[in-house]
This record gives sequence, C-alpha cells and structure tokens, in this order.
Amino acid sequence: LRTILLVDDEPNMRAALRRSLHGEGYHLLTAGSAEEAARVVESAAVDLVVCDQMMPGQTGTEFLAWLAERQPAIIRILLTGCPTAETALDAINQGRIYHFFTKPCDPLDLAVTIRHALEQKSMVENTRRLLDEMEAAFRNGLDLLQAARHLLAERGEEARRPAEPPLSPEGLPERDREEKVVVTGGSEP
Amino acid sequence: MLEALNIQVLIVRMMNMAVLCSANDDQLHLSAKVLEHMLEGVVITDAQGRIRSVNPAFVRMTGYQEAELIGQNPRILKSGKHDADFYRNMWAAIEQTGQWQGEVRNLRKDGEEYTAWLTISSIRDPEGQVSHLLGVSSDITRRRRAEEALLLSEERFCVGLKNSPITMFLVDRDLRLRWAYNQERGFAARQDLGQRADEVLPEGGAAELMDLERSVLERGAGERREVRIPFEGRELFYDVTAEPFRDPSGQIGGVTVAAMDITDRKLAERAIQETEERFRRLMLRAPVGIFLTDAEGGALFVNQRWQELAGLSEEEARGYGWARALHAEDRERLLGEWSEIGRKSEKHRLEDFRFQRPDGSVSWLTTSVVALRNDRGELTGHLGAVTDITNLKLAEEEVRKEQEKLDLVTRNIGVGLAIISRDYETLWANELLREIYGDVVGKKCYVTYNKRQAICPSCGVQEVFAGGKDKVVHEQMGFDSAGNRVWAEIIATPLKDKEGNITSALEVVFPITKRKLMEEALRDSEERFRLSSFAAQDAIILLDNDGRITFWNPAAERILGYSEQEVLGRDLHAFLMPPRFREAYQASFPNWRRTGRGDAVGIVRELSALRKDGVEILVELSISSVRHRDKWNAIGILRDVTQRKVLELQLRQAQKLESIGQLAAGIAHEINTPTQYIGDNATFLKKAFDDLVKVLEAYRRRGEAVGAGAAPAARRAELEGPVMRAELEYLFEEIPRAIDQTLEGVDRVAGIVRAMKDFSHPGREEKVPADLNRAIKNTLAVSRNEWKYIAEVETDLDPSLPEVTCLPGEINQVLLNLIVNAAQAIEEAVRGTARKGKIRVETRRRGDRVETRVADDGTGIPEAIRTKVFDPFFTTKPVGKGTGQGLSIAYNVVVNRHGGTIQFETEVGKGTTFIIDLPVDPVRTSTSPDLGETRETALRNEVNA
Repeated sequence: LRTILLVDDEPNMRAALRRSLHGEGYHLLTAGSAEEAARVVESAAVDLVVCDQMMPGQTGTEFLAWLAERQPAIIRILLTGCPTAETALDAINQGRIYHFFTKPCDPLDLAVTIRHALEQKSMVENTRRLLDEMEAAFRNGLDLLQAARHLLAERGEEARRPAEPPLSPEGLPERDREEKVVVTGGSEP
Repeated sequence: MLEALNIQVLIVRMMNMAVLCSANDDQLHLSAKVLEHMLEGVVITDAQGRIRSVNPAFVRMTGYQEAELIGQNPRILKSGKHDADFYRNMWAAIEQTGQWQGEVRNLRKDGEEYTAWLTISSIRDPEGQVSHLLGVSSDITRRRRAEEALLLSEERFCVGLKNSPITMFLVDRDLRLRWAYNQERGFAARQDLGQRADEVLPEGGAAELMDLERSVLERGAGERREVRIPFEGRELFYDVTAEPFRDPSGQIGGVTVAAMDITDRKLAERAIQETEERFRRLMLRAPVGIFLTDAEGGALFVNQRWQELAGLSEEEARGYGWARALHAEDRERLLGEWSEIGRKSEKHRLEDFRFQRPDGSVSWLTTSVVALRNDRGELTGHLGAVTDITNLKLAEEEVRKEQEKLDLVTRNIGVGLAIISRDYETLWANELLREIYGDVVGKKCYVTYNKRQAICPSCGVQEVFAGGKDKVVHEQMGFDSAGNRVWAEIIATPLKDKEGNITSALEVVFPITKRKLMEEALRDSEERFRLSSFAAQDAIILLDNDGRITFWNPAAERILGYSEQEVLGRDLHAFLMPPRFREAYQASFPNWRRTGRGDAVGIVRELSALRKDGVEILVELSISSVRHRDKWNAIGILRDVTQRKVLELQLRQAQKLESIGQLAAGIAHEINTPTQYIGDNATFLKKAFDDLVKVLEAYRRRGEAVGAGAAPAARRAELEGPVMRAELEYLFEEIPRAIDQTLEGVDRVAGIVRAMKDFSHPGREEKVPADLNRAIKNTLAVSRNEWKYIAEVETDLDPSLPEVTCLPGEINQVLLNLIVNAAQAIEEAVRGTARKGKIRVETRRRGDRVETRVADDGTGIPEAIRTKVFDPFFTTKPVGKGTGQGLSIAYNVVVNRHGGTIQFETEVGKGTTFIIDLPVDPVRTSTSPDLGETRETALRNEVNA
C-alpha cells in the first residue's frame, strides 16, 4: 500500500484532496504546514508528497527542496495557486519535483499523475530489486567459477591454458543510483 | 716842513759864510763843530763835483763810510727815479740863482731808497768863481711816507665828501672862512676864503649858520643844529655839526663846520606832514566812521564820524573800549567775528551790526576793514570804515514788510508768484516760490530756477515780452534750492505801465512735482506691469466691478483663444464659464461686487473654462479682489492645467493599476485555492452520485426481482457489490461535508470578488458617503494573501461609525498601503521564525471626525528616517517590493484631498501605528461640486480609453 502525504494550510483543501484520492487504494496522510509535513516524513514511510506552495512559515518549494536532499526517493508534486515563473523555476531546480500543478487543476488529472508516478516508482524499485538479484546471482557464479579455476589448477591443468585476468566486482559496469532513475523518470512525465 | 726848509736855508747861509771866511780859523772850527753835530747831512764838493767833505749825519743817512765818499761824485747815490730834465733844471737853477731846493730820491749803500729834502748852494770864491757846492739834506723818508699816507687819506676823505651831501669848512674867530672843501653844490667855496658867511649869502641867509658858529665859539663846545638857509629864492636845509677848533696852545682858533644838505628830506617830510595833516583832517571830518587799530584789534584812532555813530569819544573808544558801543544783540557775534579778523583776507567786510549810543538810539552799520602791513609784511593793524546804513536797513525792512504783506496775501493761494523783469531777474517772489527755489530775488530767473546760463529755450516770459499774448502757459522742469528736480506749470502774463509798455511779467507757478513724480511712477509701474504681464505664461485678466474685462494679456489670448479686442469690455463669465456653472456664479456675484469677497477669492482652484473653439479646458485660477476707485475689481490669474491634469490622472491610474497588480497574485491565490477544492468536491460528488445511483439501481432491480420472486441470496450479492464499492458509510459522511465546503469555497470566491469590486470602485471619482469599516474589511480581504501567512489581523471597528464623505477608491488605497506596510514590517521582524505578527485595525468616532489606526508589531521606523517617510520615492524596501510612493500617496490623499491628518507612532523593535484622522464631512475646498469634476471624469474616461 502506497503512502501519500498531502500538505496544505487550507483544511478544506486537504479534505477535498482526500476525497479526490479516496478509493485509489492509497494510505493518505495530511499536514497543515511544511514543518508538520517534515515531522510526518521523518516518522512514516512516505512514497509521494503533494504540497501547496503558499503556507505560513516555509513555502512548498522550500520544503520540497529540503525533502529532495533528505529523502530523494519520495516523489514530489507541487500544487500552487500562485503560479509564478519564479516559483516554477525554484520548484524544478531546488525541489526537483515530479510535476507542477496550478490551482485549480482537474482532480482526475492529479490522480492519474499520482498513479503514474507511483507506477514509475514501483518499476524503478522492481528493476533495482532484479538487478540486485542478478548481481547476487552473478557474484555467486563468479565465486563458483573461481572455485572451479582453483580446482583445475590444483589438478595440474594450469600450465596448458593461457593466463586470464582475475575477475572482480569492480570490473562490472556501475549501476545507476536511485536519484538518477528518479530524475530520468521526472523528465518524462 | 716849513721849519726844515728854514733851517736848511739858515745852515746854508751859515756855511756860506764859514767857507767864505775860511781865513778865520775860529769860525771854521766852529763851523766844523756845528757840522759835526748837525742832524742834517752836509756834503761839500769841489767845483768838479768831487766830494770833499761829509758830516756824520750824511754818513748815517747814506750808509757809506766817510772814506768811501770822499773823492766820489754824489752821483753814486742816484736812484734812477728822476729823469734827465730833473737834473737839468736843478743845474740850471744853481747856475742862475746859486741855489736849488727839492726833494730827491736816492739809494743808500744797502740799496734802500730814501727821500731827502736837499738844498744845494754854490759857494763862490771872492773872484766870483764857483769853488764849492754845498748840499744839505734832511732825511724826510718817514715824513714823506706820512705825508703820502695823509694825502691819500685826504684824497679818500675828499672823494668821500664828494659823494656825500656834506660840506666841510673852517672859520676863524672872526667867522671868516679859512678852509673849505670844495663842494659843487653848497655855500662854502674856495673863492669865498677869507669872507664871512653873511658876506657870501645875501638877505640874512647866513643868520642861523652864523648864530651856530657864534654859539660854538662862545660856549667852546660842539653843537648840532638843523639850519635853514634861504638861497636864490629857495630854502636849503642843512644838518650842521660845529666843533670848536683849538690851536696847539689850546686856544680856540675857530670853528670847524660839517654841514649836510637835508633839503630833499626836509621837503619830503614837510610834504608828508602836510599830507598827513590833510588826511587827518579828512579822517576827522569824513562822513564815514573811520577807525584804526593795532595788530591786536585795539583801537588807536577813531574819527569824528565814528564817535558820532558810536556815541563814544576817541578816548573811550581806545583799546577795546569801542566794543561798548555795540548793540547788546550784536555784541557777541561781532566780537567773535572781530577776534578772527587777523585771519581774514586783506579786505574784509563785516556782517552788518548795530551801535547803540548811550542815549539809546541805534544805527545799523556796515563795515569794511583793510589789513595794514609794514615793509616786512607783518600785520600792524587794521583800518576800517563804518557806514551808517540805518536808512538802508529801514528801507529793507520796509521792503520786507511789503513783501511780508504780499506774502501774507499770496501765502495761502497755493501757487508760486514771481515778477520777472525784462532782464529776466526776479523782482519779487512770494513765500511759496522762495520756499521751493530759495533766495531768487535779484537773480536771473533761468539761473535760479533752471540752472541755465541763458534764457530757457521755451521761456514763457520771453514770449510775453515779445508781445501780443496776454497769457502764456507752459510746463517746465527746474531745480529747487536743494538741487532736486521740480516741475511747475507756469502761467506768464505781462505787467504794463500806464503807457501800456510791458515792464515786467508776472509768473503764476503751479507746483506739479508730486503729480509729475506720480505720473512717472505710474508710467514706470504701468510699464513694469505691462512687461511682466506680457511676458507671463499665465493668463492675467482684470475685471471691473461689473465683471467686464478691462485687461487681457497675450497669455490669456493664447490659452483661451480670444484676442484682446474681442473681449475688452465684455462680461467674462458670459463666454468663458461653461453654462452649467453660471447660475452659481450669478448668485454669488452681487456679494462680491459689494464686499470683494467670495468662495473663489484668495484661493487657487481648479475650474473648467470654455475656449473660443468651444473646447472645455481645465484651468487653475486664482482671483484677487482689489479696491480701485471705491469699487471692487478682480485680478484673475489663470493657468491651463489640462495637460497636467491628464498627467495627474494617468499617474493616479497607474498607481492604482500598480497596487492592483501587486495584489493580483495574492488575489489569484485566494481565488484559486477555493476553486481547487470546489472542483475537487464537485468531482467527488459526481462520483459519489454515480455510486449512489448504482446502489439505487441495484435496490430498484432487487425490488423488481423480489416482486418477480428471485432467489434472495443472489439478490443480496447483487445488492452488496455496489454498496461495498461505494462504501456507503463513507459517502454518507463525506457528501454533506463536501457540499458544505464547496459552498464555503464559493462564498470565499464571491467575497473576494465583491471586495475587489468594492475596493477598486470603478467609475466613482467624487466624494460620497462611505462606510469606513466596510472599506477596511474589503481592504483586508483583498490584501489577505499579503498578510495571512505572517500575521493575524485583529479588527476593532466602531459600530457607531458615521459614514465619511470621501473618495472611497483613494481611501481604500490608503488603507491598503498601510496594511501592506504593516505586513511587510512584520515579515521583516518574523522572518526565519515560526512566529506570526499581529496587525490591529481600529476605528473610532471622535466628534465630527473619524480616527483610523493601523498598528503592527513589526520592526518600527528608525529615528533617522522618520521625517522622510511621507516623502515621495523614499523607500526602505528592496527593488521590486514597492516604489516608495505608498505613504506619499497616503499623505496626499488624506491631507490634501480630504483635509485630514496622518501621523504615526513608532518604536524600533516594537512596531508602528499609523493614525488617520478624517473629517466626517470634509471642508468643501477643492471638493465642492466644482467645475473640474465633470471634466475630470471625462478626462479619466479618455485616459481609460
């Protein structure tokens, strides 16, 4: 079950978002300010944040920028009623957000975007898991191969075969880090 | 000398005898003895001239020894000073007479010259033959020298006498002339020797001289007298000194007389005496008083006339006694003047003064004084002449009285009067004229009045003298006694004698200086006014008491289109004032005509005016009332401010747009958020409705199925599907909430939109009664986004607040500016904290005024900038946060446009409170339904377009 945090200082707004996402099968959390939201993401595993821009205290952009540093795996969406170019630039560059919504937006649009984002997140996570498994398997294979080579050498076969470079995990191509996956995903909404 | 001669002769005779009787030894011996002791030098030669014998005296005289001389010729003694003739004569005399006497100059042995008196005798033998020569010589060198000296001195004496008027002579006891120095001009001459004076001088001319001579003889003492000698018809005078002349025995042998001719001097003296006498007589009897003083001013002499005038005798007048004669009133002045007399010029005239005689009678006197000086130029005294001018003074007094009488008569007629003679001299002038021009009487009129050297070019008097005109009027500029320019209008008329000849001219002089100066000043002032009004960029219009135009400057023509000719004399308001204002004007005009007061007088106001082309323009007009000829006139200065008004309107519009622009983002946010959740809720409700419809459908079908007898289990499953999916419980709970919240959101949006509309007040540019509380609420609403994240707003609005007549749009702008400022002050204070500030807005009624307070607990205003906060363009905000116009606009709106006040209280770190005080019904200054308003609206519309 995916967990979504909705951040808005306006209670009616939080209620409306809850209703929009009701029945989508998410675990929904809400916060009335950036400060409250920060506490929530520290204490609970959150997959996605939908955040308002204009709030008392920290703005949405500021919070999302903090979050991008802190927990880059959480997908960040900004929803603002004050769509200035400055806000958008800050949100993209500092907050590294997945999507920029302006109020009012179509609730279905929002829901679909959230679903896609989470699917992408799932794909990334699955891919990583597979890679992890593959790597583990490959390492096992290598270990086996090494053992086999030692075994052959011990059996005197060593002299007739040309020398091969030793295999090591460093020789494998480096895998992409999560951030890179997210950014790639972000650039293809 | 006579004695010497005699002695020599005696000796020669003796010697002759001795030589002749040489036979007689005794005698010879005796002779030798005599010779030896004689003082005279004796030399005896033979017939051949050889020296046979010399005596010791001769030896001493010549310096030769006897032996050296014997046998020599006496020629050895020759000095060479005598020529050949001298010796020839000498020898000839000896040949003929046997003797020669004379002076010879010889040389001694030592070469020194000596002079000797020499007697040479020839001694003959009995046969008569010259046997010897005898020479007897006396050394007379010293005597000769003395004689020469005497002669020289006598010569000198005589020469001296010759050049002096002195005659010298000697008379014996019988008074006969014995010696006289020949004097060309005198009574004693050589030819008169032996005669007595009375024998020489006829007719008793010698009497005084002889009297003197006798007196000296008798008294035996010298005497000096002045002697008069009538001679040849005239008188000679001598200063004679006579001394007794004594012979060696001491007997008086005669008298020596020295007489000096003093005839010339005597005659001169006598002439002087006579002159002096005559002068003295003249002075004594002169008809003018004469006085003579010493150098110190003390009187030495006063004449008869003076004594009469002063009433003092000469004795009394001596020294400073004369001062007693001075009249008491004049004494001090005259003595003062007199003490200065030594310093005055050689000839000096004293101020007229008076003598008062002991009998009390008074004379007026005029006195001239001459300084007397001796040969060395030193002041010795003064000679003065005093003339009695009493009659003159009386005459002057008469004249003065006459003049006073005339003055009295002519004093108050206010015009100057003068009689001018044909020589252009002022014969008489009245007091007024003299007051202006000074002392003019007796002087040339063109000099005194006009400072000219000749008759003035446009002389009225000259025209009168030319004849034919009984009256000449002209205006003339002249100079008063102080040299200032004065103007006069002069009427000249001729004055005629019985025969009708013009003898003089009467001038009637009207002083018009004041008028002239005023005219000049007026001309200057008019010129200045004309120049300045012509140069002015503003229209300057003058109206008379009937509202008619009397002056219209070029700027007026330029601004309003009418030329001066078109408008002069016309009623200004009839064509310049838009018809809709005329009624109000006509109502107030009569009051202005009377009092010079009116709503528009003394202030600057904006009005509409009709241009000639019919276009209404906006003008700024200031009207001043001036009292002219007892009536109120008006000066209007009018400036076309249409262009400025357009710019002002544009600016105000721009400012409004700017503030709305600032708010736009916030308002968008305020609207967008409700819109968002309204949309969300609507979507939710739609979906919920779909779900519920499905449930209801299921129930309907079930009802039908029950009716048709379907299996109950299947029916339940059919029923439970939709219900489960719709989560009915959730729907029942959320649908009402969603509806409520949606409605709330709709209200929010509607409220903001309404506040925005109220806030901006489109199309209202006149003062209307407005609810300030509502204005505050609106402003807070539209600005909510500006403050809601940083501050709580607290309002304390007086419910009893009356409506305030104002320009609501502008007041809203003021409130907005204050609230935004408050929010920004708080933001600065709370930045980086979770704290929220507080904005408190309060309204209170204070009598007929309303006070609005906008308080924040922000940073406060630093002391240094407190005086600048209302200055335009002064701002502490970063670029992009504000133009610095906010408070300046607030000030302008509150103070200038509403007659209110705006102040603030502030404390750094604690916050600021702005206090606006507005009159409920503001003074109708620029706000009355004036001419500008409609036009301004029209203009704004143009701007908007």
